[in-house]
This record gives sequence, structure tokens and C-alpha cells, in this order.
Amino acid sequence: MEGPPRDDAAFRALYDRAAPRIHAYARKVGGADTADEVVQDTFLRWLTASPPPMTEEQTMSYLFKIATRLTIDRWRSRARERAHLGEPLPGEALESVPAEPAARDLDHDLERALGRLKPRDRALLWLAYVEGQPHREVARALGLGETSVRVLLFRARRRLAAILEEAGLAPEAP
Amino acid sequence: MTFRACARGTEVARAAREGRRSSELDAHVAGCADCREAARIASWLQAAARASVAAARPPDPAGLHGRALLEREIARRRDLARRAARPARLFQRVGGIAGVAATAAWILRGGTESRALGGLAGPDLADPTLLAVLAATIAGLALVAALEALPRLDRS
Repeated sequence: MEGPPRDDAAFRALYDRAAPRIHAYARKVGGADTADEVVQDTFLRWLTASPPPMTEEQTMSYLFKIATRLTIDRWRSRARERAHLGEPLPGEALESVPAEPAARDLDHDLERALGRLKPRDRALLWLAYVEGQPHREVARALGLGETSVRVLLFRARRRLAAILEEAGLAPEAP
Repeated sequence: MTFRACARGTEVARAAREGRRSSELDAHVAGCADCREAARIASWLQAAARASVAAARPPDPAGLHGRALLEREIARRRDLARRAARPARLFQRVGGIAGVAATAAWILRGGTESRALGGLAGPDLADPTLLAVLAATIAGLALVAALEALPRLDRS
């Protein structure tokens, strides 16, 4: 691929492949109310930045890097606003979702479990385990060192395992 | 059970994602509590994330590409305008420096030439009002130069 596509059809094709992944990520890491905005701003920044030629995998890493920064920035500003108004922090509110058997699908379980982690931990887990990004890419996206990513990812995974255990959602061995 | 972070955790997660695990990796996972947990959590997260991606309704990108092209064009033109203005800014600075140097030379003449020679002689440096005006002028010029050197807010 030669950087961002110059024509609308090629852009649309890439958007259709990448946007659902970025939208799901932004929703689970930063909350549903900013996910649309994050997706639009991510693509807009990518298109206006004129990055060097990249493979599709590199493009995805690049898009996730932009999306990570936008998601965490927006989560922080919303958290500040809510703290000022005395409302629960974004993410914390997810815990109050009732665990009705009918609603306990995987997406819902994921939201409940990740909602109890810090946004940075959610991003770490998603980028490393869902997107399969190497530690180097995760470190770049989150502005951390590679060694820190290894340690923080380990801790985040342990925390998630404990949350799933406590919620009776502990996964079986694959 | 005591866990320690295993260096192969990401490899295990990636293998779970891509659905391919070598017998060597399987043997490692069987003997490594950390990798067993990584495999379990990664598989669960991946399945849950697939459900989230399937449920995702990203906004319609209509107009996004056109808007990006427009923003790029605006940025390009702004950059061209900035480059075109560079010589003018340079002349402004050179002119300012030359003006300050000429004023300084004229003031210094006051100490070296006789006041009796007439109107061309420099000012009296012992005059406190004149010194105050000079100090204020130099401070003003320094302030203007400092403001010019600072990165402009509208460029960020």
C-alpha cells in the first residue's frame, strides 16, 4: 500500500475493513460515547498526516496508535469533567450493568470485565492479545518502554483473570 | 500458585489468535503457568472482541476523505505562505537591527564630539530623562524580539 489512498473508493474499502476494529477498541477502552468521534478523528489524522508507504498491517498499527492516544486523551478529559460534576468515572459505570442471564453474551461480559480495569490496561490487553501487536508496537502506541509493557501487560492480565474468576466468567483452557 | 511473566506470553497469545500452535509451543505452555493463563485470557478476549467487532457500528465515512484532502490543501497553502513570508521577516529584522545600531552610533557621538559644533552633535548622556527613554526603548525592542522568537500559537 502507498500511504493513505488518494481516491474515495479505495479509502472506503480500507475504512470498511479497519473501522469496525477501531470502533470496538475505542468503545471498550474509552467508552461508547466517544467511540464514533475517535474513529472519525483517527482516519482524518491518518489521511492528513501523509505517512510513508506502509503494508496493511503497518497501517493498522499506525491507526491503532492514533486511536489509542485519542481514546485515552478523551477518557481523561471526560474523567476530569465527571469528577468535577461528582459523577462516576467513565468505565466505572459499566460495573453497574445488571448481569441478567439473557444479556450475558460475550460482548456484554467483555464490557463488564474491562470496565473494572484502567483504560491503559484495557488498551494493553486489547492491543497485545486481540490485535496481536508485538510489545514494541504496544509501547509506541501507549508511549511506554518495551520493558514496562511486558510488566504492565502481565499485571493487567492477572487483574483481568481475577475479575473473570470473581464474576464467574473464568475461561476454560483452549 | 506463583506466577512470573514469561517472555513467550505474546507469542502464545498470537498463536491463539492465528489458530496455529507448534508442538514445541504446546510443550512450553503445558509446563508454564503464566503461558497457560495467557492462552486462556487471550482466547477469551479474542472471542469476546470478535463479538464486539461484529456489533460495531462505526460512523459513515461519507465526506471524511474529501475533508482530509481539503485540510491537506489548506496546510500545504499555509506552509507555502509561511515560506514566502520568510524573506520579508528577515528584512524586517535586519532593518530593526540597523535602526538600533544607527541610533546607538548617534547617541555615542554625543560623548565624543563637541556640543559647540552645532545641531549634529549627539544628545547629552547625563540627562536622566533621555536615559529613561533609551532604557524603555531597548526593553521594548528586546520584548518584541523575544515574542517573535517564541513559537506562534496558531502554528501548533
